[in-house]
Amino acid sequence: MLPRHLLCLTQHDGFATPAWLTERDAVWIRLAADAFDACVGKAVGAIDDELVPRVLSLARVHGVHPRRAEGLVRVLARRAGDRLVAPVLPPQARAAVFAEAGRDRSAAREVVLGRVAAELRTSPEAVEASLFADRASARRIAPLPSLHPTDLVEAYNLALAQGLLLCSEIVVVHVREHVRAVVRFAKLSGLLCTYAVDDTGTKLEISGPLAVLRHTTKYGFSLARFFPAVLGTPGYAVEARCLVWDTPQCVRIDARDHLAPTHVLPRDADSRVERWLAQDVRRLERGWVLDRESDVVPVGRSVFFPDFTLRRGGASVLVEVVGFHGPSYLDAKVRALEAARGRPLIVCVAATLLPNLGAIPGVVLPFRHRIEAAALLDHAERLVATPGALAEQA
Amino acid sequence: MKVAQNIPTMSFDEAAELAYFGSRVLHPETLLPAMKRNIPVRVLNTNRPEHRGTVIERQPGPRPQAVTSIAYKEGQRILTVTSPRMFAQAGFLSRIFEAASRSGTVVDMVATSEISVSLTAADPEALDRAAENLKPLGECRMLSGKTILVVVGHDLPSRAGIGRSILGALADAQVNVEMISYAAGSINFSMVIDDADVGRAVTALHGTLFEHRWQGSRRRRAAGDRRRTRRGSSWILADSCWHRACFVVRVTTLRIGFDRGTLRLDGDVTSLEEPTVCLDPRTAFHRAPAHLYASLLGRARARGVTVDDALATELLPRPPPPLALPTLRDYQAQALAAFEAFGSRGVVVLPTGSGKTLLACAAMARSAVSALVLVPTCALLEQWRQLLIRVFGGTIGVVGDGTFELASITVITFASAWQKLDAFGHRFGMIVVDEAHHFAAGLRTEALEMCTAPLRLGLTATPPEPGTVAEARLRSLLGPVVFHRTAAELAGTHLAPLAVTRHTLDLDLEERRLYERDSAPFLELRRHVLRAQPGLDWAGCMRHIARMPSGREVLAAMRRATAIATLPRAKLALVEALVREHAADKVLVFAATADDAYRLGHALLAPVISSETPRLERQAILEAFGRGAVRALVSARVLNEGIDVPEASVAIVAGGSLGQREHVQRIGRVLRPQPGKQALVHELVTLDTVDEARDRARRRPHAAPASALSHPA
Repeated sequence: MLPRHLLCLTQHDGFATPAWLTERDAVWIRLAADAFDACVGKAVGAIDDELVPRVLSLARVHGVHPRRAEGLVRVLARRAGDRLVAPVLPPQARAAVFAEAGRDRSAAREVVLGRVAAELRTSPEAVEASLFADRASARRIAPLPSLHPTDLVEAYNLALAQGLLLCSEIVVVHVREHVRAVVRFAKLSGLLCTYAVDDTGTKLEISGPLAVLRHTTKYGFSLARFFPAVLGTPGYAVEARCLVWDTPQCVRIDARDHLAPTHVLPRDADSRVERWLAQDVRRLERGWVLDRESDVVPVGRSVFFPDFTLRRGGASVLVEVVGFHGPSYLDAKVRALEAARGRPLIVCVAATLLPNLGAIPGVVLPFRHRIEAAALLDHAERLVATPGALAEQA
Repeated sequence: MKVAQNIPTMSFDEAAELAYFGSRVLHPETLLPAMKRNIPVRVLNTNRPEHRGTVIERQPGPRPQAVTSIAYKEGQRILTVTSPRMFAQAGFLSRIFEAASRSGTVVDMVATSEISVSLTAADPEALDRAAENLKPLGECRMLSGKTILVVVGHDLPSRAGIGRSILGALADAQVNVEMISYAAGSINFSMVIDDADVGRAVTALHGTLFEHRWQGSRRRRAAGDRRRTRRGSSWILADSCWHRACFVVRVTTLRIGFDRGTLRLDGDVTSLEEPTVCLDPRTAFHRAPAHLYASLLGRARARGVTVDDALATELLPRPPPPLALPTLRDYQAQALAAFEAFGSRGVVVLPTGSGKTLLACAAMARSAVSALVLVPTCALLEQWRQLLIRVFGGTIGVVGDGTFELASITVITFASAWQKLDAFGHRFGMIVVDEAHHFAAGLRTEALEMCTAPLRLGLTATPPEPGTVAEARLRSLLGPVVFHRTAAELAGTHLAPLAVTRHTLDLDLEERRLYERDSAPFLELRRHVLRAQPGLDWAGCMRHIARMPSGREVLAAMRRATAIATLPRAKLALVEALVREHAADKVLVFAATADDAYRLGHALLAPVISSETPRLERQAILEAFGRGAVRALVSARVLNEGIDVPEASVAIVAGGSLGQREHVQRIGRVLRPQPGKQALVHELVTLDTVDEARDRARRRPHAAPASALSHPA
């Protein structure tokens, strides 16, 4: 993530939009990458001393903001990495040199290095060059892996987005699918999630526990780390309340921005049955869209994520698939489904499990190997169209 | 009251009770620290300073009188709820108190019968709201213009006849008592009377209970007494509901828990009157910063709120008693006493090498609660662990540097505390913060905010200046500076005597040319900025320049110029010469930056300790330095503080960038006392450069150790 002093923003309609790099920047990005290549093999310290001034002058020529140019250099350096180049292992050289210098305090520097070189069977120059060669700034710049400018654009944009979220207090995320995975990532980062469901998906408000008391860097880090989890969800939108350079900003990022997913989210289907169901619903072309884990149902102090939500226009129907599982799982599942009572719900139950299940809330659709998609959509249409159907299922 | 008498002694509980009912000589909260540490409090009369006053203490000596005092609170209202449904119904009372709580009513006194409940409160609006809420439960009747009259004393329930004396005196004065509260083991006997009767009631009670008028006339009134006793008895029996059901004085409950680095508060938080407590709409409970735990707990208890403290059960077990408690020097013992006198919360300021860690061990041993020691670096983590093992034996927990082990005494790095205390910040009764000044700057303060430990000891040699934001921040997180000794005060007795030599140097011609070339654009730009915005501080000026089109290049050039000034060739040569001169001594060399430190290490063939030095290598270097097996030890900032290097006697300060605080810490490295030791400090300054300006900054007149030093150069 980019440090605060390299963040770049533009203002639109009261919202701050990160100044993304795009394909139009490809020309100067290539030039910057070439300048970076010229530094390969030099000490890492050369990035600040040589490369940054060179790229800044390039940026001036191409009308690029210096902060964006320097930010790109940071991304390039991170992508390339560094390597140790030393004739003698530095810890070995140091141990020998310092011990020898301590033994004979009056000996001249050259004499000490000569003695150690003889001991290590190398030249005094090699010993001297190796002495602190493993310092971060003394390590050598490694060559860049072969990268397309688009890769650099996406890497820079992600670093910029995360740098902004580092300054954020609260992030509101709109997601259509994979709500469960996003919530799980947020919880792993120690963040709190509240949610609201509307026609377009789920709105998650994510913040650190201390957010009601004051702005903290601790949870800014958590929000920045959590952000890549959102990138994997289709059609996401993020609004973040940030404090950039001591000024409150509302930053907006969405799926149309030049950001590439970095995390692999759970598969679209847990089983063949679910995968076939998704295919069949698409094939039937009755206007229904099947979103995976896009809705949230409160269960006491916890929440339950139904497997799918069928959506058409403003209408939505929850779909839960109960496959082959143990008795305790089934009990928990029935309790969770009870919580969804009152909302349109279709429970697809494996026929073999039906005798083991008690009363199941919602419309029950038994299946053997494959869920009958047409029957499912019929039920959905009846639930949505008939006002009494809900009461009937309850 | 013309014949009021002095009360020589009373207990803390009695004083708190009286304070609540109007005797506002002492606010109940002011007594809390004294109650906690059992420190007697003497209340004197400003107008009669020679008078012995009243001593408030935990266990006053034997007192002939059961009653200590009489107090009252006027302007009360009584709300009585009557309902036949109440009979033998579980949960009826809880519904009443829920309704009272919802309306924000602070209930002072309660009495119940089988079919009615009466309660009093001072806030008429809140009681009106409560009456509205209670209407569904039964018939509500409100009486106003009432006074709660309280007789406070010790062992009241065990004094036979005290109730008869009180009620008899009031009956004699024609005062009608409408409610009574007298709980088992109580220290007060509370009654509700009409506002108009207060004067008569207090005079009658004072006469009976303190002037013993009833004793003198006992025989004369024996017959009447018997009659009154009989009458009183029958009165009580006739209204048996009264004496059977009187209980608590205030009915509000607060549950305190820990939730991800904050305090979770459920129940009545309004009475806390704490602005930092706020409702978290995400979870529908109130939150407060965890470090305010002790303060909120004390405040709740002082206001009579019943506290359900879930944290008390989650503390780690007490540590074992110390194997060998360190013998404290006189100033260490004074520091410990001062810390405890301030309620075991505060910052102790002692110079480096004066034994702050031993003082902390003694504080931990005396507190006998689980303790967390926060240290800034991994090097100090290991150093503290070793010391704590020597003092306490057993298992010492370590969190940081790749280890996670919790124990009754645990050492943790600042970085790990910042990351992880949201999970276990409630498990320690005490925290000790080494090099506490780090938190004054505002970085990673979440670490201390997420910790509930009521006992907090900060250790530092360089506290922030009084009256600054940094000082206020440290005070809020750890407490005030409770003890302060400078190196000057301890030098020669508890620290080694010290001499400082200042060496001034010049840049050579080539260096001067480069320095002027690289620094000129910056100086020009700065002049320009300051002309445009006079009064801009240094940080603001730098920010402004960095945002200018050519600003970053100008700043980069200035960094190059600074590098020339902080370690020119002449300085390098002089350091080499000084190291040779002190070949028999253990020499520490301090540089301005890590780059300079490595240049010096390269030139001297001496090991460098920096943040990049791996842990094992760092230990090996320190061990070799202790044996005198290396020429010198070079560092920029890591050796500034904390790390124990007892044998060093010579410090060469080749450069410094962090001002006075850094300078004090560095000099402290060579002040650890050794028999016959003379500590030497060489300061190297490049004239007419930024290095000279930095030297001036660190030698400001109030630089603590400077006053103790001689300057032979």
